[in-house]
Amino acid sequence: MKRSTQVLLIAVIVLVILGGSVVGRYNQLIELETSVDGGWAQVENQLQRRADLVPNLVNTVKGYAAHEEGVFTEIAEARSRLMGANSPEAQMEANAGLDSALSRLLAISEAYPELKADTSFVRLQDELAGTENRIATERMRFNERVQIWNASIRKFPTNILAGMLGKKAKSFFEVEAEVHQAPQVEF
Amino acid sequence: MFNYNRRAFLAAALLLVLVFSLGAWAAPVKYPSALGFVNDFAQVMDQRSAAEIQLVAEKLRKEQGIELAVVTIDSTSPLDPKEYITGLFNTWGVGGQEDSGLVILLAVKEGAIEVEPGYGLEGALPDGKIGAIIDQEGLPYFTNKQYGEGLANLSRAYAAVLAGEEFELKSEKPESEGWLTAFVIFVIIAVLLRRTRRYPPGGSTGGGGGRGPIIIPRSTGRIGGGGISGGFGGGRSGGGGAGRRF
Repeated sequence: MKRSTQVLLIAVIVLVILGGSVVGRYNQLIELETSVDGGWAQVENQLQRRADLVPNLVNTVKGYAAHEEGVFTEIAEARSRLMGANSPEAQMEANAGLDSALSRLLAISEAYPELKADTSFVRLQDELAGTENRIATERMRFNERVQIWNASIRKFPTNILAGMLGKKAKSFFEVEAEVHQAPQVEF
Repeated sequence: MFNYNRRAFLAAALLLVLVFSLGAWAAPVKYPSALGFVNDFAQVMDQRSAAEIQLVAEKLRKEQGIELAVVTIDSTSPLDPKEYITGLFNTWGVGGQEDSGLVILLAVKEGAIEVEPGYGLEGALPDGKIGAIIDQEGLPYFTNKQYGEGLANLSRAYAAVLAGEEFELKSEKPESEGWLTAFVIFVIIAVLLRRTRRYPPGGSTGGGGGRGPIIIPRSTGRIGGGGISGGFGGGRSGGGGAGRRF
């Protein structure tokens, strides 16, 4: 066998191995990204669920505390901002706004014993609390996936591939307090 | 003396290292293994209630493929009860592939009752209904420290709703059917008797070894011989449900 053929053969083998590993890494990246997107979709579901509960809750409270209009408009605005947000970052921010508006509404309801005894209000509060817990659960799962994603695209040699494909680190879904303290870093 | 001091010092140092390393490892919460449908880890349930829950759960599983797990625990620390029940639910995988599981958790120290449905039961048991049933069927017992009765009553109520019965708010409490309970206990004892007779006394086949009189175990997970021994798996929940403090 000629020397040049040998070299060619070795080069082909190396290329095949390298190519295989690149394909494997590429597929892994896609899989991870899909899992992050899937996680966010779950979070979105729950955010939507909460937004759907809000009008009912507001109406019930209005029945007992019609003059607390400030909170009602605040909630309506926060809700429409959430419905209008179309990127995860914008949704996270709008959600923080709805969080604080809702906690004000619930604080106000403390002052109306009749409202607190209303069975439909109690039910709505249960639904709301359950949905908050669902959001917390899905947020935790989403953040775990983001962490795996962010770590994997920084590791060598996947980082080279990720850089070539323009894959970037994704932001975590922080809890409200942290969102206010540390604004989202733009990557 | 010097030697003794050094040894003591070493022991203390070792203990310190152990404590710290334990602290470092304790980060992921360790959940107990499931015993079955009834998991009375806090040992606060009476046998009769445990047996009733067992029966309700077996019926639910057989007729509707729904898995019910009732859990009592001393404390959920360092987690709060809600985080704990979600973690426990998903660790055990209550509800199988259909995610049709329901977990009822009572934490004694926290004075907390939490009920969480799997993804598959969220439609049948909305959070509002779960909460209302706790208020009506559970809290009166729990505030009285009648944990077993409360949990049995809750289990019955959820089973009824899952079976399609309309749950009526503020309806009068179902009368405790004494004869039914007696019959249930009779059946269980009969089953146990048959079981123990099958094996020679003192054999190592049973869990308890050579027992003389029949004792109904506190945790009734293995009673009934349905082939389950905490055999959950695959069921998931998203953290919904409702809870109360008492």
